[in-house]
Amino acid sequence: MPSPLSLASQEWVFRALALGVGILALAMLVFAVVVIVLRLKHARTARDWAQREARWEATLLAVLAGDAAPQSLRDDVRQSERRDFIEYLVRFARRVKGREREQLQELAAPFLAVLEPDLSHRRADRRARAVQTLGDLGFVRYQEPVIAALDDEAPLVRMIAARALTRPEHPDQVGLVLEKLHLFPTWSPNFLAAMLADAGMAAVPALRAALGDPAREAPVRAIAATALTYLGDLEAADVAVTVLGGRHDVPDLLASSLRLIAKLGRPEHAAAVRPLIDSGHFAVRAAAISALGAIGGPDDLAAIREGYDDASPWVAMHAARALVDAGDVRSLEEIVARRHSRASLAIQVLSELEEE
Amino acid sequence: MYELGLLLLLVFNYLVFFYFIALNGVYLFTSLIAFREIRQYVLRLKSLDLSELLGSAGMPPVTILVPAYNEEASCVESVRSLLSLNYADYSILVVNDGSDDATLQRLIAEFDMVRAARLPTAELPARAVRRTYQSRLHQNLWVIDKENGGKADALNAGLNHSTTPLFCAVDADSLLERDALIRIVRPFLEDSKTVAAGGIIRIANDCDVVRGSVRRIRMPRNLLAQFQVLEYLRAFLAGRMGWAALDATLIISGAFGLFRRSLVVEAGGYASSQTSVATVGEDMELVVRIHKVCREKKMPYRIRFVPDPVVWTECPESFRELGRQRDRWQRGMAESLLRHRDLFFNPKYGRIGMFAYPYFFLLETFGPFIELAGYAAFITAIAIGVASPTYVITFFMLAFVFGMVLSLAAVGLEELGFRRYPRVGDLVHLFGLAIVENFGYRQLTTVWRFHGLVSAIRGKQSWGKMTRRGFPKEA
Amino acid sequence: MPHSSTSDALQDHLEALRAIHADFDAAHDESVAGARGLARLIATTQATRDFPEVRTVARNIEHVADDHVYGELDRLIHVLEQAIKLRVAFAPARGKISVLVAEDDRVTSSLIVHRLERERYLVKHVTDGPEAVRLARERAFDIVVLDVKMPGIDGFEVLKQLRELPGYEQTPILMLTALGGEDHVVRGLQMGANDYIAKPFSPLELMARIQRLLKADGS
Repeated sequence: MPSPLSLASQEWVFRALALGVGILALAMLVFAVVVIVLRLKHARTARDWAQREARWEATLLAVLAGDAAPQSLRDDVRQSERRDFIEYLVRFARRVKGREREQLQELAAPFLAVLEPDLSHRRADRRARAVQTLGDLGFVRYQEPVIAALDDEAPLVRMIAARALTRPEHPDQVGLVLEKLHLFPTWSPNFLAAMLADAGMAAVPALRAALGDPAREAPVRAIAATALTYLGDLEAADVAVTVLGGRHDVPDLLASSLRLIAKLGRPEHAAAVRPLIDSGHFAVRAAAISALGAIGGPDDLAAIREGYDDASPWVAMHAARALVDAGDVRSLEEIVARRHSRASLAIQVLSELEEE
Repeated sequence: MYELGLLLLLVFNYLVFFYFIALNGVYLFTSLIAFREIRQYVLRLKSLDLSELLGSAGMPPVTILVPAYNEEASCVESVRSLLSLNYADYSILVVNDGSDDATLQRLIAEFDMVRAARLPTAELPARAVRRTYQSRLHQNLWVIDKENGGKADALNAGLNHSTTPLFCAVDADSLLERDALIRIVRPFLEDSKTVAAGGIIRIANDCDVVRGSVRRIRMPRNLLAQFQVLEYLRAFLAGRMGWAALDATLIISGAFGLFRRSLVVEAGGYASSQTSVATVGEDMELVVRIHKVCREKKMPYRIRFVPDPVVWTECPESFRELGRQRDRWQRGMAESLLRHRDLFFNPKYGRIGMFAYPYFFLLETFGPFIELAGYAAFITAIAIGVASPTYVITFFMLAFVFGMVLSLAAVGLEELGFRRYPRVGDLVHLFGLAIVENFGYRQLTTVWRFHGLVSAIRGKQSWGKMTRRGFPKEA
Repeated sequence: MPHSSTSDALQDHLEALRAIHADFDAAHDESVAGARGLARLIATTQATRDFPEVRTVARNIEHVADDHVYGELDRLIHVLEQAIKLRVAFAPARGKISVLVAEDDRVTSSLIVHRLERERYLVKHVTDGPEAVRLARERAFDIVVLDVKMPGIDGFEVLKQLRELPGYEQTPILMLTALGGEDHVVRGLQMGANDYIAKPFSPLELMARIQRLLKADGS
């Protein structure tokens, strides 16, 4: 006699559960079969693709070398293959520059229109892909949509657009990207600076302008300073000096400017650097000391030596290296001899010297 | 009395039902989320060409920490494979944890290493460092020779000597793919709030490995290894990917993870016998502590999981080794979680406290106990005769078939995103394994995990002896 | 790959020679005929194509008197051992310029190899560092195009090993590098590379640089 406590009660709950899982299981098994079929299909498409590429490759290489007419390759592309052809060309376009790149762009030109609808696709990755491809292969014609993509709602699209606009082949848009830099607050500043520097020396005027403009946001100016440092623009040091005299409450900007001066500055800039070795922020102190080591005079050695005793080990490390830069290896050796509490730092820096 | 017993049995069986539903239900949930994430990831991957990033000067420098204990057989190969990573600015710091074999000598000889000074940048408590060496062939390769102290201790010593904003912890026998570093660094570029990122581990058994890189990918021949392939797919793709998307990552594998150095140092480094109490699960313990520290400081942060940068590793092929490994993992998880009990349903810790931690604590850590007891109760119910056919079928469905659903889903995720196994036969094989896995293999791992759980609860006596400690492999 | 079979073939010939040498009996016609037959084979086989010294000695055996054959066998064994040990062609192959391209990226390498072959250079393409060193050891290339980042060993390591090979002290080596930063370029030049070209690169420019390096070398 089944008592109400027995497991035979609540049958309906059990039935529901069992049925639910059963249906799920069946669905998954069907799904598995579908996946396998898809894979087979994919394998076949991959084979077709490989064949097609082999067909194109021979012609493409001949065209690039000047042995065949571009039209011969274009003629070999069927209507349905247009997109794939563009993807194929992009792979080459990414790896070359100069004449061959132009040739690839010429080859792609008649087919690019097929990507235009993607620029307003509802999926961000499609838009990004279109912007990237059109930026690589058809920048002259599609400059406007790429610039417009800087204001896209998806961060990915914006970044792709920014990268497309900072290529050395067409550096005039760097100013525009700088203005939009605030749209990329989460991206690493060094990465953004490198992106700007990719545009090459032609980007320098826009970068200098941004750095020297007090009305710009400090993070943007800091990135401009870093980019100029990567590019090695000597005149930027003069601009950086004006920054030092300005706002003292943004450590990143000060530090980037100081690093610029350390790499590209001249002795007359030292005067602007000196006050900053007493900054409250360790990164600023460190960068200031490095700068003094690079461009300072013999009178600055005392200050640098004091930096060695700074509370922050980073400042101390910069001070040690600065002493080397300034040619004051003796001080380091003395530190080792005196068995200073931070002697190991001196030892390390001295040994780096030996390796060179 | 009989009635009471029956009542208890009934309640317990419901508990077990609930356990299976919850465990598998959560996995199903994370699988669905992972599905979406992987799709997005794959689509995004095509947009930002990696080779472009390589040339970019703005990539953050990374220090790779390689704790090594008695690895004379494989250390040279591992280091070679690390030296050929596609990345512009990185250093390799091998931490020789007082090996008593020829590990140090091999490295010194092979890479022409000489004594060189290296300034510590942090002072995490760790066993003494004897010497530091630098390679004359590769300026970015260093070895730190220290006294034995265990893996966490070795990592801390490595941390003490790192100067880069990011560090990457790997196992001495992990084989990183060439693009692994550049892929795992992406979240740090895209979002400066990122503090840690994990990658996926795949099984290298029977793959062609040439000079430290995996050239041809194959399914292992050994059946146990095959099941583990499936398990890893589920654990990483369906599990961790989903949790990461929910911003609730509780573990980043010690075999491959990228972290912000300053934060980890601030949080006290890895939990070793020198800093607090060592645990076998120091990788999980660290992540939990990172959550705590970030929340206490009220700093916005993200922990990401990138499914593509891959690390290859060998997995056990014998019952004994596998059993020991699972035992140890369970113990590590239990220890790490028990230590941070204050997270349990603590709203101060958001999703971690309210969702992730309880899940891992109740269902994953204590799961084996509930499951085994559940099987026992089930058999009892049948034996006594109170189990109706419907009940039996339901139990069967929940305990076995539901798991099969998840295993199939995991294979589907792999196929959707990565298709690492090029032969169609392998795919079919994986599906086959998925069907069979829950009818025996899973239960076996449950038994091992139960053993680990018991050891963990029994507690700290096992740490009494400070014998030479090797580095068990984490997951 | 022809080159691995070359050294295998040379090794085989050496073993055969040693065997005949061990059993040699000047009085026995068969012994002498066997030695001469093997010498003739060695003098004409593909494997010794690049080793005229070996061929000269081998041809000699055919013409000397029977009781000198043993001495010549000795010489031949010695000279063949030397050839295998040094693995350097004693004379450049047929006047054609040979280029070793070490690049693992498929697209980049197809661009480069195509251009080179079009200019009628003899091109050998490898996709990793150790392979490059191995090939370079087996035959003397006139110029090497080397990618800095390849699987296997670090490109700089490959550079160093190449320079240490006998015969490669002056061989022009051109580095291809995708890695940003001047330090890589400087390092490469310091370690002995003659020129570098950064990626993305212009294949036309690459060809021009290769030709300039070859001219400077006096080829």
